[in-house]
Amino acid sequence: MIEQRNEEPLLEQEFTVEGGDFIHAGEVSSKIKKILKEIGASQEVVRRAAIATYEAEMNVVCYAKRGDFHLAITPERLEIVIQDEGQGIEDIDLAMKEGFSTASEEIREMGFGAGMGLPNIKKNVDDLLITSVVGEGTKVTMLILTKR
Amino acid sequence: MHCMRVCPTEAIRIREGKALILGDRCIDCGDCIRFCPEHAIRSITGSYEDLSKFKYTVAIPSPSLYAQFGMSISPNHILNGLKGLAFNEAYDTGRACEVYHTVLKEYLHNYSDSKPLISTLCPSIVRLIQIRFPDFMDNLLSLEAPRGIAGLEVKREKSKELGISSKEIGAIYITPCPAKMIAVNQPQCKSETNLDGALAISDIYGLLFSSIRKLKSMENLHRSSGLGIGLAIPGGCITDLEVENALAVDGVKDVTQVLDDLEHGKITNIKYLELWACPGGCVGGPLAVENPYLAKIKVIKLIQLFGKGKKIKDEEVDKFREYLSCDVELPPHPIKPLGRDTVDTIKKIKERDSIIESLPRIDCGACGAPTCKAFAEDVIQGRAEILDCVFKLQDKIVESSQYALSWARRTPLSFRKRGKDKSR
Repeated sequence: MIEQRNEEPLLEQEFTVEGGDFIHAGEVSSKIKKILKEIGASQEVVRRAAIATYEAEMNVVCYAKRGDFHLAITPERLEIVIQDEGQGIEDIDLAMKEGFSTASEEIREMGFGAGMGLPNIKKNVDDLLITSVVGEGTKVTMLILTKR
Repeated sequence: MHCMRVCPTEAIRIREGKALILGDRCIDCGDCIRFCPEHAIRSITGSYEDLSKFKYTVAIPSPSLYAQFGMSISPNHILNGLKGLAFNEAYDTGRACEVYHTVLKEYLHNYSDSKPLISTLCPSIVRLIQIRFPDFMDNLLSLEAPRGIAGLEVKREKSKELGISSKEIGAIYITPCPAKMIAVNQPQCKSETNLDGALAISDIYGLLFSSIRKLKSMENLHRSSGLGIGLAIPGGCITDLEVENALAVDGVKDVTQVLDDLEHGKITNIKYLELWACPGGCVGGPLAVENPYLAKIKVIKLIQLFGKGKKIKDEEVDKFREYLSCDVELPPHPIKPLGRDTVDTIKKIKERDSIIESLPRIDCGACGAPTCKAFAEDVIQGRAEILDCVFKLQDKIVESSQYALSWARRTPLSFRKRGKDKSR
């Protein structure tokens, strides 16, 4: 369970991802990675954040109408919250299983929807919280500790 | 100005009308040389005088040299032409490429990392990875490039044959780019390099051409198949490595994109990445002469002509094995953060971003920086002042003029209504 952070973030940024926009997919995670490299985050943190945010971004592109990314950086941690407007997830535990996917045939043909997105996020973050309302949207909160 | 705009790593600033190169960002790609209309940027190249330092000299041409002339001029013409030029001997680097190709194929066969193995043939790519993608440092191929293998064979063969020490033999690389010129003096793989200098293709081209035309008889110096020549173009012989999912990418921009996508996991399951800083690979080098597209066609024709079956024998390859892994510890060289620690860096990033907000963001370049963002960083790091931006200067002039105008509108005391001078 994610603990509330007790420090004010040093840096906060907002990004928006449009659902279905495969052309620009990956740009937000690329921007986040760039910021982390700029602040001199360790290679490991950059790598984990890059993979986790990319998967989250692809989830928005594949399944939602739109998604708002909120990045907050404190000296100790990296917090990324993604709130999307979309179909939501019916059974979160099932969605966390490797290989489980509700992706359409079209999305699978594009090389996505292998059911590795959420498990891959989980693998790369220190804490993950997913809440979802079917028919409304999903909120993904992920946490990466920068000093371990 | 042209150079500053094309530099893929934003390593150039203009000061006193000249290009200043920020060494910690430069990857030696040579785009600045290629695009300068005044030909003002030159790479530090070797010269013929260097040859006189040695008892015996051998030319080691990049395979891209074979593609610099028309089809009627064969690799053998070129090697004989080199020998007639100022060298005692010319070595067919295609042979060293065959050694390289054979060992690389085996290396890939045993490679099982989830991230791809990255080719180190192009020194600029190695620099780019050191600076921008330090996370891939561990995936760089640890294998001496063909030019180094060639140097080794030349020194071994000739010192034995002539009974002189290998130091008395000058192994001179004929290069299509400044990156390899620099790599001769700052080796990225073997600390003891077997190359003694490099000459630019562009510097010897004219003389070589006339030397080839003067040839009356030829020795048989070309000993390799088309396999080695394939290394002169991206993916030239990549299918012969027999790896699933090997990718050849050229041009710093495209390479950066691919490495970026790999970092995110957008591209996965690639086993081998052959990366080139120059569009078109070595035939597109800034010191090459022939149009890179024509040169590429020639390479393809040469591969067809000489076939892809390697001519070097396995026992000959074995003689190199012990030597081939790198011993130079290449450190990552990421660009330094703006501040001294995370807190300070973030503070400076915010300052920088607020400066960028106040700039016109048209990247005009008059300030001597390639982009408004780069200028804002220069201001933060003390390399420039905010008024070096012509638009900020204009604002300042407007502001000072308004101040001057307020004085100009001051009513002389004799006309002024009591307590009503609003001019100040």
